[in-house]
Amino acid sequence: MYPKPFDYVMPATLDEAIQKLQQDKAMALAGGSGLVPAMSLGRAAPALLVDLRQLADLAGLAPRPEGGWRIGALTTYATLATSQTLQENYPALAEAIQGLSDPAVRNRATLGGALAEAHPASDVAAAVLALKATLQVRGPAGARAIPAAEFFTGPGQTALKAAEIIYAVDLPAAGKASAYEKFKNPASGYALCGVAVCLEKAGGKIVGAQVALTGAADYPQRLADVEAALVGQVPTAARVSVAAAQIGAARLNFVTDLAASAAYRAHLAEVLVKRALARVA
Amino acid sequence: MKISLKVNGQPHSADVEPRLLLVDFLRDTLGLTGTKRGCETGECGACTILLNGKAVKSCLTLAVQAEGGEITTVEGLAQDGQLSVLQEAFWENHAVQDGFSTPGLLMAAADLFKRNPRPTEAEVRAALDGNLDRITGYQNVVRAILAAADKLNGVAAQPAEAPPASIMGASIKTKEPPALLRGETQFVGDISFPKQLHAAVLRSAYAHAAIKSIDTSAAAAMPGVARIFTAVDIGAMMPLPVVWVPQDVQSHFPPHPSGIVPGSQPILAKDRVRYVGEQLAVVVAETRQQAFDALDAIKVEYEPLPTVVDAEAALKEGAPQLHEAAPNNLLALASYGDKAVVDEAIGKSEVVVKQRFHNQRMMANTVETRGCVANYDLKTEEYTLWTNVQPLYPVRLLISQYVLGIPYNKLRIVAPFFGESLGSKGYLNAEYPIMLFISRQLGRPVKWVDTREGLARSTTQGRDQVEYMTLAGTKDGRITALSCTAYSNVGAYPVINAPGQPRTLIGRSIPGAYMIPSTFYEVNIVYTNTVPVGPLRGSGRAEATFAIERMIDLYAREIGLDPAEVRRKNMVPPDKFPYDNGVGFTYDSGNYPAALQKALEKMDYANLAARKADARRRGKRLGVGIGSYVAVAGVGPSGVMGKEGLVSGTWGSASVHVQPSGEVLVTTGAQPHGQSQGTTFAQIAAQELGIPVEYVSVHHSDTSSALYYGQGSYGSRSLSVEGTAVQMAVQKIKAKACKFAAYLFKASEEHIKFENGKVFLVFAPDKAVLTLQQVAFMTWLAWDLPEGMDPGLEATAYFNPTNFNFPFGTHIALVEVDEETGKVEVVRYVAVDDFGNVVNPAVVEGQTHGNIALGIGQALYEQVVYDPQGQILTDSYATYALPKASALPTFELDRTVTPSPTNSLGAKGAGDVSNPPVAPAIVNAICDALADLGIKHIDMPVTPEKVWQAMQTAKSEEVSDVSQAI
Repeated sequence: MYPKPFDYVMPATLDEAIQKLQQDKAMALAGGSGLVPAMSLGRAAPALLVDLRQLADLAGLAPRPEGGWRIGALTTYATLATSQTLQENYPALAEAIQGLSDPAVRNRATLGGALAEAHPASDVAAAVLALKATLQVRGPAGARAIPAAEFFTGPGQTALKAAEIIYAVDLPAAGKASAYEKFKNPASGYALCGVAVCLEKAGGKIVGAQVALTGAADYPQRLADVEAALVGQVPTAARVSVAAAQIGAARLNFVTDLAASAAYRAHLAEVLVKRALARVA
Repeated sequence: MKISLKVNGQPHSADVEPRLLLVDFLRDTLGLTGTKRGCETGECGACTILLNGKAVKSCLTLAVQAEGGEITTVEGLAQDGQLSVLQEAFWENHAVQDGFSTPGLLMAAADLFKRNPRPTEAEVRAALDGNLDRITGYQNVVRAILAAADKLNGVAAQPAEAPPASIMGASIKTKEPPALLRGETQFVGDISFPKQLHAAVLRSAYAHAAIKSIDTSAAAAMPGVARIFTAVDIGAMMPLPVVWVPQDVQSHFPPHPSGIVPGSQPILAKDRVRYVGEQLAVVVAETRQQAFDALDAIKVEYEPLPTVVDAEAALKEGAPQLHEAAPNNLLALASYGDKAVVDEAIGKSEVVVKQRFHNQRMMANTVETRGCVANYDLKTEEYTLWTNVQPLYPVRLLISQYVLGIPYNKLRIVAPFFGESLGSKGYLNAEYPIMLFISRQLGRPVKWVDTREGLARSTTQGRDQVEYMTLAGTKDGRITALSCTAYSNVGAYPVINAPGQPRTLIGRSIPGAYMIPSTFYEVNIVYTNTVPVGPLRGSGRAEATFAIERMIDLYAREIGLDPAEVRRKNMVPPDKFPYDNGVGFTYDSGNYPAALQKALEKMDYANLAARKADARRRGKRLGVGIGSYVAVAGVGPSGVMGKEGLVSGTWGSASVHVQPSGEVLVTTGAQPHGQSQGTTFAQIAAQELGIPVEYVSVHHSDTSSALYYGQGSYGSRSLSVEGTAVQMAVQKIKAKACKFAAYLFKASEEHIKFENGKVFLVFAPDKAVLTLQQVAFMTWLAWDLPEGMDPGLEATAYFNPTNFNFPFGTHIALVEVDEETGKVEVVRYVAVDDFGNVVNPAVVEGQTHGNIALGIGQALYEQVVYDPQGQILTDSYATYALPKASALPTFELDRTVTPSPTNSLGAKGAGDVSNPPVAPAIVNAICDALADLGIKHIDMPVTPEKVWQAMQTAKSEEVSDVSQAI
């Protein structure tokens, strides 16, 4: 109903923020779209909130010298949703953000905040997985890079260590042939099932494939069996169907809840994999 | 910590707790209450503001996060007192009904214009995805935003249609929106008084348990806590009463000490709770936050008991028992019609169709929750309650006589402007009397406003009936008999009118718009460990209409006839009115086939084959579904309601004063909550008097008014009952004016006429003439009145109709079902309704939009879910799905006009009657789309998963059929 009392600081630098986050029950605050309602509902009760909003240099898009783009962790969804760069180079991420929540939430929510929250139905999680993004984090022990595929480790769990902050998300150059398909939970707007795909093709064959699932299983993850069924193949409709059918073979922990059964989610996953691949194959 | 920011151009500084939400800072610290608190978790959008020029949900934002920012709230949209183009467009396009969601919608639109000055309709709908509105169906909101965009882009507006010569029948702009659009209108949550305390209610965590102990000591010591009340602290407060007491069948209510009416739930549970959410204690503190903080510190020791949440299960042997007074959990078993006759007719019929339906439990889930401010005035010894409750006078009578035991004269109830209800604010709830009691105990005003989670556990829910239907007929499409055995879940306690819905409203409506030679209806009304159930918009008629309209389609399919044809064959023909439907209702007037025909033509029903084929090429199945209806409205005839068991008059009343100034004041027993009676009733008076509508004011929603009693607004009764009383009162005034003029002109009354606001002698209309204003002034002076005439120009009229009225119509839905996912999209929706004579067409159009959106919600999305232990799993907007703007098509509306002979306006109800045909039209359309798979029925809500499962099952059966054939 009301958040429980907490202390609040607004550090001026990333180092200071990391230092503050080492206190007991400290949590980082980005846009707040996920954390503030969690506090109102009593599902989160930090003792200290570390507001990152002064770290203005953590927002924005920039090309990386080695190719690809870097997205500052505090870049809002609204900025990303209208970014020409994203739409042209990383359709999967642009589509994930455009189909996510509503304009007022997009104005506040940030990419880094959402990844750190690691909601089991996070749209952007699927997109960064499919795009083979690298999460740049810094913490008490210094900076490190975490590949997206290693970031989501379980339901609501990530590879982030205590007091670590995501400060940027790096996207490799290859991402144009990507797409995101979502089936919305009509109540929450989250993905009942979401699938992001990204293909690399050469000589009429698929040479690289990433297929990522969100909302349907217990946490966002890549679908290795589906990917394996694509690589080295000619991207025909028949091949796409064969690959999508590998979802059944995958030992995924599909979720049953109020909104849908595991069986239906598994079915949706197959349908959405097909639809997403059909758009990029 | 200290924050500084600008709000609507004004600088503000304040010292705030870090945990203070921006919405509470704006509302409580700055007093800017135009920004509403709806869901508290970012789903409803009522708290949307602009922060640094961008839309933000202020409940998802801490006040400290806005430090240094510039904020625009709804109060800041109008410049120099002038409504903005957007606000004007909302007013012009009738986009405001109750108005609670309006500020958030305006801010979302303002944000959209910054990003996209020329949005398409689809873009507008998508931009509203973060805003919920249960009343408007979004249609006029979308229209208003598009119109505003046009105006801002210099696109010339469509030339307005020529206004009708008559005030009646004109879609004039309603009076209420300007203040609502500015965010100035106060809803109950916006009212505050000096020295006010805040209350929070502790609710049972168990659906069925014995209460061993309640320890409030730790909570009582918390900061700001004034006192905590449990059952032992509230003395002789009586339990809630019930006023619908069937006399013709045995009924089993909990006891009530009055010995006059039966009882319901205790105000605070003492030693036993029967549903999750039953109230146990009230914390009163200096701030709302302190009250809620203390709530967590109360320790309750429960001893859990077995639970039952399903009506059919609750009747079974060995089921947990809720009330000593109700063996087997049966509140009542009632029936209409002759079972033997119906069974015999079914036995002899050529075709018999059977189906079980579950009309699922819903909740209104209004964006505005319930709330009240209670005050006891020591000087006058009077209690006043400001609250969002529909039947003010009935609640006043019940609280004073049957709960608190105080003089009726000492209790005043005022309904401030109030948000969405959908019927859920039509009851007497425990919070109202207890807050009055607490105010007296503590000598200070007490405010209580419910939360979203509280609403799910404490506000009356709707529907929840299982029906076993049997329809019999001939092979060529004539219905011969109808039988229904029903199980109605009333929840843990009866609401004030609990037996009314399952008995009268459903039972007597079950034959629908058809001539059925014999009908039988039997209902078991059953207690379960769930939140109490009562009427919800469309109530009773929605359940009945769903059942009969689905049966018509099942029957049509069984005999291979077009469902439209079966309807046409069986509808009550226009020359049969008044028509006795055989189970207690006499339909007043109608031309049911005409409305059906009009809807079919509008849908181009005969030519959908090409569209169906096209859909199949896109992986979709197109289906069309009809929902025809006749719905009882206009409660009503008091004697008839008395025979049904209602212990309350249901007549309408109005008092009309032509003031010494010549202005007209109408006081009505109606209680608007978005229906615009402030405008439509002024139209009635203005039309009757022949004066401009601007001269008429309408007063309502305060029991201290001059009116003797007001029934309030519910069940589509206001216009035909209360509105007719307005017309009758004005006619009395005209008669008095004529009598006075005859006396003054020394003429016979038969030579005096009243026209266009003037009374004159027919022989000398220019010379012997008085304006209404002059008559009012002269009768006020009373220097020279005819013998026996009282001074003043005022009249009160009562209208106790002899029958209900029966609006009707046909709705047709066109849906597409995704072959792969089972997702249903409503692609077209046509509604042809007959509300009799209509005063303000735009008002009833807006109401119809709301009814359709709610019906689509029931058909596709909405459902209250309890787990077997009685925990409610759908207690937020994130878990209780509702249709959003982007999920709805533009509804295509039309009307036929068949005046009702039951009232002098010729009006039929409109407010909730067009909801009942919606859900069956949608489900009929879905079943049509799936017909070739052999799928006959899917229970609501028809979710994509249910459709997919049905398709899977059908396809596997097909396969096994084939293999068997081989």
